[in-house]
Amino acid sequence: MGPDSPRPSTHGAVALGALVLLLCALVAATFNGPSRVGLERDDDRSRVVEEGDSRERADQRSDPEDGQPEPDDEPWLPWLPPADLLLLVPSALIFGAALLVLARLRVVRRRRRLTGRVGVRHSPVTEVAPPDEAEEPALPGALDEGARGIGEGSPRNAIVATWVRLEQAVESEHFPHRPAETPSELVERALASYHLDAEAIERLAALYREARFSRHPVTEEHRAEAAACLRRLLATLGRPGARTR
Amino acid sequence: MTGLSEVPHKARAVLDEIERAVVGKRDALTLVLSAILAGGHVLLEDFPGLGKTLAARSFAQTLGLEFRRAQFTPDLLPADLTGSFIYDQGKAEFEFRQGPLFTGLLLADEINRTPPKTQAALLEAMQERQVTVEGETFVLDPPFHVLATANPVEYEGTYPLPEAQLDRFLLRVGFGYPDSEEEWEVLRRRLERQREEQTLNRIVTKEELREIQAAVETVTVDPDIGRYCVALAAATRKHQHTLVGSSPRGGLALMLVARAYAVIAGRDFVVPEDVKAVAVPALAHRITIRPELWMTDISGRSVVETVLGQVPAPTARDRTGSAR
Repeated sequence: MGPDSPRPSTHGAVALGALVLLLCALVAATFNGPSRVGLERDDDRSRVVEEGDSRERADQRSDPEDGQPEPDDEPWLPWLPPADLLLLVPSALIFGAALLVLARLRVVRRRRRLTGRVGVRHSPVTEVAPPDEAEEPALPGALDEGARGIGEGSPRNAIVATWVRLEQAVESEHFPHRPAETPSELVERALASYHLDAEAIERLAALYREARFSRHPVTEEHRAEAAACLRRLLATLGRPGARTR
Repeated sequence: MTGLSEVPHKARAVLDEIERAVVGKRDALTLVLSAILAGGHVLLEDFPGLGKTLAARSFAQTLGLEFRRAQFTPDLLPADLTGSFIYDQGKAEFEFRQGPLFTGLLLADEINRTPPKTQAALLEAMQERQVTVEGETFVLDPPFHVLATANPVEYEGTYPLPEAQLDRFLLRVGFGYPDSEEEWEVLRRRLERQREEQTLNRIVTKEELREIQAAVETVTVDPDIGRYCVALAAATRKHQHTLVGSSPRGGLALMLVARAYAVIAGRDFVVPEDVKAVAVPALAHRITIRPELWMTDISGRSVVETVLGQVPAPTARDRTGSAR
């Protein structure tokens, strides 16, 4: 295939244009033909009826310059173009509409492809209103429980268990669990509404991810770091005004 | 020998060096580097003049790869890429003259301007990493990567890549327009440089790149993460807007790129956030939208975004069920 090969993307437009032109030609041929045949038949009929008339009258009819035209031959609106030409107008309109649709389709496809340009997806963090003051504050309780229970079991399990408590606590406080959210997205979303220590939250989330998804050893240092993060979060939560935004 | 612990530092050094030439595209560059570290090829699709070619050249320079560029025109023939046998009168024998495919990093510029036959020749080389000319097979030395560009503005005289061939690309990445500050930074650096060409330092050698790629293979992928990748790819097949969803190759690509992405982020394990970060560039181009939706704004990207919001991610409770 070389440079002379037809362009694949123009096949549709060429085919559509050819089809519309063919339709126009058919319309023109269809309406020209019968009108001429009809006129000839009228002429024949008039010849039969007026068979005995003089040749002068026939000459007058065949030569409009010399006499008045027949009333049937006179157009109703002489300033209008012929009827067969008028029939081309809707065809042209259809052709134009088809071209517009085609152009629109191309634009939409182009836009769709452009908007389909891809990059790193950043998880949207939805701001959520904090729970009412009157409600049971499950989050401080979960943090407190996590701080007390983090010393139990292996460091990996302790960190993961602490995170599970946090998840359960935030789910119970007007933060519906969204299964598609990563655990860290869920808890970060919830904790962000409390204006807690962002550094502590992020570090705790990182420790959880490491404990949950890695295979390298999770040590006592990780446990101590997680406990420190919990204490910082508790301290921030207990601060006056921490639960309001 | 480059260990996994050294990879994040080197990857960041590579990206920092490339950012000397390509301004303000850290996210897109990170994705491209992830695909290269995962051993794959990338389709860069965006407007002209956004630095696609510059980025490809910059990756070749910083990664110590031999760089060749092939401009894909309508009259390009497969032999123009693979090479062909030329008669040597002195030796009175045919000898093989290598085409531009025999390189470390090939920039396939405007890949959609060449006919399917030539596209197929390139894509076969990408998949098999070898070319066959007149019955003789020539292996392409690793590392061999293709960065192909496609211009989405002009469709006249183009041959859009079929879905089966798009599937060969690990990622499809767009750069997007820079903001005004970044655009001025491009101009400022050009004034400061006082010349057109931009030369970057080599950060790793070809051999080091291969060691890094081998190190990426040792990254931990939790079974739940693997199942998550599979579920995401499968969900694109069941989505109401898709005619054809992602193949299993899409799920594999998702996991491979997420693994490299995790290493660049400084981890030796993959987390769900890595998968989500690379899901759109890894899956969107593998999805065919239903024809009746072509007039709408629905795209492969929107399908993947929807799926990311529906497929359950691995949770902490999955872990506690099988505590180690």
